[in-house]
Amino acid sequence: MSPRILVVEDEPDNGEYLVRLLEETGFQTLLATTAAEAIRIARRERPDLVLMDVRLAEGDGRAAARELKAAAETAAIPIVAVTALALDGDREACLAAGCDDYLSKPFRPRELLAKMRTLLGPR
Amino acid sequence: MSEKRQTLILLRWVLIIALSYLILYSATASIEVEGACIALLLASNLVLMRLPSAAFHHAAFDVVLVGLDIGLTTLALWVCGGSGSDFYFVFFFVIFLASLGERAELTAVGAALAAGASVFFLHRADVWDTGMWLRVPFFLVTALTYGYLTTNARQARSRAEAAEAVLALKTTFLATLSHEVRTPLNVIVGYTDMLREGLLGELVAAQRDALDKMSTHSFELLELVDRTLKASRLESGGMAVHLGEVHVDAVLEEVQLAVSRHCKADVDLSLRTQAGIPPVVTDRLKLKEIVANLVTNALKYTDKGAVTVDARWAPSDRCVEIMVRDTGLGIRPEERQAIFEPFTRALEADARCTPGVGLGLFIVGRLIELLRGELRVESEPGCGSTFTVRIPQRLEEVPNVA
Repeated sequence: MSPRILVVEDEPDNGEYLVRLLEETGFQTLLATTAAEAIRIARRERPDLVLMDVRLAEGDGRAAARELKAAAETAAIPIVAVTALALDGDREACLAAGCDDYLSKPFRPRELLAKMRTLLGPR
Repeated sequence: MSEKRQTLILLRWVLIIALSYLILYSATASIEVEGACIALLLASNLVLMRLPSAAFHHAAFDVVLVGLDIGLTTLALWVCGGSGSDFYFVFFFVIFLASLGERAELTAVGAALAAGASVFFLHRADVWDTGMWLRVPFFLVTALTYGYLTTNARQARSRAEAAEAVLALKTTFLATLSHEVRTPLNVIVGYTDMLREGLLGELVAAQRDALDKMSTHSFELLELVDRTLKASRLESGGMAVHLGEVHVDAVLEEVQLAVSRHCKADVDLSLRTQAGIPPVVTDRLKLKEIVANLVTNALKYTDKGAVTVDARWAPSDRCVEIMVRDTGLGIRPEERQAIFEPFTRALEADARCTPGVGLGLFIVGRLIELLRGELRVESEPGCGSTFTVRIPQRLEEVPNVA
């Protein structure tokens, strides 16, 4: 079965693009547009990986990542911060919040897929 | 600005104490009027301490205060009957108070009134004494000088504060802009790449060509935003230096990778590191950025020939010297300073429509300053330029972590 990816993204076109890219490259996707929804879906669906936008219209992606990592049932799910926050210290802040990796927008699809492959491991 | 409030209140305490001392010192039988004046001054200062800050900046505030102080002081000293030269320094305080008002006219009027009052009320008997008259211009000059200096210092400080606020605002604005540009750019870059890789259907050569250009220019747009933001952060001093042990040859290898997209068919790029350069304690990313910026520039302005980078160790100065030489356009002597200003480029660059906005060398200059290095430019218009960077082997303390 192909891995299931939870995409957390509040900007509709970016969300649609990520979903489309992942589905074209053989993943199943779930989409959340707020931090609360992301936590709810992650708990219920236990995805194989989370792509987490940081600055959300509702909620904060880093806080959501911290919450997922703190709960036993979701702690093992790898999280990649995918964010337009790309200044000095933004990467460090994401990693400190518990994200396993960080990717700044805009990114090349290849970069994202390579990071995801590393975190998902051989299947 | 609560600074004016504090200075005013403090100065008036000194005035009141000095006045009380002088009156008690030369006290006659009764001191009711003098005592009342001092009590009024005391009370007014207590009121000042409770006034809201805004009141201190009211247009009439300074005039009223100076008038009150001159009136009460003069009355107290006059009634007291003392006319010794000790009284003069009380008037100095009045003049100092007047000069806090940031208005030269007020200072002058205050000084003239204080001087006049001292001569006519306190020295009635010997008013024609020339020594007495000499004190009037003396008061005036002192008051004006003091007023001018305080006003100047205050204006310079508020100008600096305003400039700092603007810089901070600009940096915040640019940080938001960066976020807001990156978000749509992600969709553009993403779909462009998906199209190029055939994920959304097969392409013909012309379509692929167009997509390649879209991709390149998307990243150029991103670089423009990043550079503007970086320049702004460097200008406002908000950039920290992260020290580490740096190997120059490794940095040059990274530079080679980073500039690869600017390489041209007719320009040879070679990077050479002299053997035996000791590890340098500096900020690796900043050093890399300095060299990468210089090499990118060299490639941009060179159509034919070579761009060479030579790194060597200068043992006498204990610094690493990195020389970036090109055979390009060159820089006219009169432009050699200006190219380091933000948003300024050599005229030739504009004439040729070379892409860029003129931030590269400004960033290089500021980064070199942060690393306590030096930059030298030599150039022969039409034949090429050489940029020589010298970086100290050991950057001790961390400068400017504002």
